[in-house]
Amino acid sequence: MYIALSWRNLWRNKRRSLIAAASVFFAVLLAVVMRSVQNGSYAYMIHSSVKFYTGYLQIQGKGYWDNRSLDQSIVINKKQQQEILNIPHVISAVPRLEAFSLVSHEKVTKVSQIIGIDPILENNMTELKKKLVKGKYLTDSPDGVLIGQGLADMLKVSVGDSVVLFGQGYHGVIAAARLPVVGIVKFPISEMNNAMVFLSLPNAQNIFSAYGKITSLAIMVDTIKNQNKVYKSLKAMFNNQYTLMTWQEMMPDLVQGIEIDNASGLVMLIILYIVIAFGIFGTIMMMTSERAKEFAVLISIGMKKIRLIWVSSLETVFLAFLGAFAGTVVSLPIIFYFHYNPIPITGNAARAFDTLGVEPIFNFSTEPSIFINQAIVVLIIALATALYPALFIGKLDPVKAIKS
Amino acid sequence: MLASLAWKNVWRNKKRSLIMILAIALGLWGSLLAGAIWMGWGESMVNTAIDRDLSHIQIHNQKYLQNKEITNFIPDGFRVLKETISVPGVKAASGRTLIEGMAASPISTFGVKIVGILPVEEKKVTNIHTRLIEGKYFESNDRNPIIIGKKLADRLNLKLRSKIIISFQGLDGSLIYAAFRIVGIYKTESALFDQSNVFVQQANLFRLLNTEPIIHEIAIRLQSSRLMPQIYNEVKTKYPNLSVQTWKEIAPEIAVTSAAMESFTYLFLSIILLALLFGITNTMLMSVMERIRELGVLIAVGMKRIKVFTTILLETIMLSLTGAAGGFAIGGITIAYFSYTGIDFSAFASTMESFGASPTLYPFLPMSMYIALPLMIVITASLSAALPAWKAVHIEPATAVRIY
Repeated sequence: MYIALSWRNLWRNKRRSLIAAASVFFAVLLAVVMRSVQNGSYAYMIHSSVKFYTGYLQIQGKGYWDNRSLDQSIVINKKQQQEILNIPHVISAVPRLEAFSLVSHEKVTKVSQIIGIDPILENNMTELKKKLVKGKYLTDSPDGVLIGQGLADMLKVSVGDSVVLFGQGYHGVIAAARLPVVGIVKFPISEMNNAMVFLSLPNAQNIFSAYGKITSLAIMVDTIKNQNKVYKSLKAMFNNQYTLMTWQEMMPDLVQGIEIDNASGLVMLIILYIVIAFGIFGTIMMMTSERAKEFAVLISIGMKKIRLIWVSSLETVFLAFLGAFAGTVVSLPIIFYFHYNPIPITGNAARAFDTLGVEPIFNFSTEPSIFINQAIVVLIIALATALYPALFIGKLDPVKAIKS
Repeated sequence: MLASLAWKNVWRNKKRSLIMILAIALGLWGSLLAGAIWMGWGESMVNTAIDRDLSHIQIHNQKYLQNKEITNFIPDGFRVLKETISVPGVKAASGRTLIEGMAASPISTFGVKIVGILPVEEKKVTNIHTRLIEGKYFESNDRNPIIIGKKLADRLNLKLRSKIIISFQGLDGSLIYAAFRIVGIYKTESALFDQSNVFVQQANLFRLLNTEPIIHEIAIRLQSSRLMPQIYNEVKTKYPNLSVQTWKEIAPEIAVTSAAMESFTYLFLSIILLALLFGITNTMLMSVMERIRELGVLIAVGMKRIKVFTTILLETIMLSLTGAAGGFAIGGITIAYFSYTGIDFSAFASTMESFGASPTLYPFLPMSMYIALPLMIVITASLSAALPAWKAVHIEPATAVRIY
């Protein structure tokens, strides 16, 4: 009964109700799209950043993260690696041996990051092979190196030339080797492009006298939601023997960058919703005071005030939901379209993303919580606004109202 | 006449007008403050980068930009340096000898940029000397003093007065090793900078390199950043064979991000105004519908329809501008207050630092925004007046007077 009555009341002044609903519609549409692109970009940023290099989790020697010394390298044998892979939700476990060293070709010497990798496992995780622009990918046996394009340009080397590695190995032993360049890889991040040299793991272990050792084991998890489960299993498995790093610890900048972006997005939403709330409030207030006479008549002929309050509150809620529903419906195709066709960022803005180590793409999230949250916010606004007609009716003096 | 009529009309339903005025004021206040914080952030990023190492204008050998080899120094660099210092408007200039090398401690090795400076000159251009957290800025009599960043010190596990081994390629391609004594440790907003830049005195480098004095970079600090385009042109025409760049060319990502902050502010303001547009339309529409009989009479007694239209338009603009004035006033006061005290974002310090901004921000709005905004509001008001005014103009006097 109440519902039918309040629904009809809404349509007594169509244009006004529609405009009020339109302002809610607009707010919800905007809020949903904005949250979707923010959340979607975060998930994408995290996944692509961890996949790029660090993985969601890494097992390292104690103290390795701070001083990156080969002395903190560790031994994780094949059997242990297999055990890690058997943990549910673990997709890959990639062993690496990393060291800084000088790399020279003829008269030019550059500082580089040397990374010993298992070519197949590495490619499964980071798709290193796809980044090859010249030459061949590493195989298990030969002793060549893959070199970043920027570094190759600076050293003026090409496929077939040799480079000389010169640095410090395990326990300070001198590490030196002459290696042929078998391929050139290109990274979007210039720090990597200008510094990275890859070679096969056994080869790196020999050169740096770190026989059978690795500096880190990068672990990929299927989705970020399962990261904690895997973390606990790994913690139990290694029993504090090694350090277990999460991507949040390895990339604090990314975490805080997301937090700050999220915070400024929320501030924008709050301001937007305040403006919308005033719009709804104004409409409801006018709708209410316009009908003072009508309310007064109803009360005089015996209608309970509490029932009237019910009807007018329902009107407000309807109005809000009408807008929220329409906003959600319209936002769905937009979000789903861009979810499957992410917008690439071009031009100068792309460079800013590159410095964060993220590929410049706007991604959209279809997480249901985005829609639900906006609906909840709108409901709260509507309920708060509904207080006005309730108070108005509560205070209404039928005699005065009819006379005026 | 119409204006005073319109102004009086605005105040006929005080409560309704006040709600809209409040909505506009709050919406603008929020978005102005948020915008000012973003602008302050952008400014802080620019200023810290300029003070830290960029300065306003830099001169290099053109070949150095492609390949940062030690042999690509500025020919006759000290003469160029002397001449640039005497250019009017130049506050100071510092010649820097730049070498890429490795810094090693007993436990680890990192790639670094070795910056050879004349402390007295460099002090006038950058503010690293004020950023020392330990030690002094080249005041001791050590043989090879060096100043390194906190991050590098941590990574190499070195302390003040520790010895650090620096290795780099000499002019003839041979490798040079030298022990330096850490006399100072600095910390800036950028961890990346702290990790990769070490400062030494030029004389020590020249001795190690066994060369005549050479410099690779001339960093020019101007008396005011407003002089930048003019002095840039002057220097550029004077040295056609050298590369002359402003900080915007050297660090485009900072220039882009700081410019993006302004666009972002405008975008946000437009969204808020769009949301307000719905509210204003609704308010005015109701105001017109309420007065339909009165407007009908006015038209019947011969008031020109264009004048009715103008009255409604004026009412809307006055309502909006009153709200805007309120928003401007509280917004302006808040921004002025915070631009004096600064807003402390230490909770996000590490992100702010990774973006290269200081954790205390001084919000501000550019003058152009204070001019553009009232215009944007008048446009919004005119747009929202369109429907109500159209409605008012198309009143059939006969029907209106009879029915309402």
